[in-house]
Amino acid sequence: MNENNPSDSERNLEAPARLVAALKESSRREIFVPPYVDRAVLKAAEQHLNKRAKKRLGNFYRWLLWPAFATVCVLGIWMARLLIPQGEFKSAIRTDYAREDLNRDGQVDILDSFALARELKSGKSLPAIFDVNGDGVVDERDVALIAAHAVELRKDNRS
Amino acid sequence: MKRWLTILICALAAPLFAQELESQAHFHAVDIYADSGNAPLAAYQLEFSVTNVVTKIAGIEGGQHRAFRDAPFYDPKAMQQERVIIGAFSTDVAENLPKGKTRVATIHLETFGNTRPIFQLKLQTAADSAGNKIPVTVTCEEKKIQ
Repeated sequence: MNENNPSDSERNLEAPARLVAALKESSRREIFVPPYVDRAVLKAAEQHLNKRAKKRLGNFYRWLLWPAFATVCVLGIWMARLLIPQGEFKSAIRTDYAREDLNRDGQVDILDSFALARELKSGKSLPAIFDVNGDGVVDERDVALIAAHAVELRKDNRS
Repeated sequence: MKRWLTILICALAAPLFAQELESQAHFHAVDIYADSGNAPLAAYQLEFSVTNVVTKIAGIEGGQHRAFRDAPFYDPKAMQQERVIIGAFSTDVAENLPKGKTRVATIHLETFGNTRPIFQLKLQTAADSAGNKIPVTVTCEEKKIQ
């Protein structure tokens, strides 16, 4: 006889009457669960569900992060342009200043001449970069040259 | 013959018209004031122009306060034009610099025609004795020539 073919007695799967009766009895009986166990189960379930919700929100925020960062950058640049006067904004990003623009504000004006005059008056030894007329000496003539440049009339209607 | 006569009359009349135009020339002296409020005014630069009539700037002189008594810097090319940029500074200590409203320069000019000239002033920059930019109000007043 083949081992895979169970015998007729094995095919009879009916449970013993006593077992059936005991099982029926147990389903009718109420099992007492202490309240602290109830609370613990509830708390654990709550934590588990919260964690899942947070994870879902976390993914959403991660996607939102880069567009938000880009928006903040754009807004920052726009605000800087708005708040900083145009000339100063341009000078803040430029590096090619005129030689006479001693205070590096992007414009050659009387304040550059004034700045050099104050330095001269203080008696400090000044670097060759202030020698605007290139005569080898930093003196009043450089101050006058910058002033002359500052008040010069140009065809483009600007000083 | 008629043509030559017309040319001759025009040639003789031209100086008369020129004289008429000259007679409409007016001289003005315009005082330029700067008001720096409570801050000591150490440096300024401004643009002055006449916008509505033919004008020739004839001369520029300094102001009232000792710090700005010398004539300001200006482009000599501005002479005989209707626009000039003037600027001046003083390296004196703050105590010796003007505060409030002070006359910083006077501009002399000649206008042509009977239209009352309109003066335009634009402050370009101003600073206190430490070289810090300060807000300054610039105004001008035509001086009555006696």
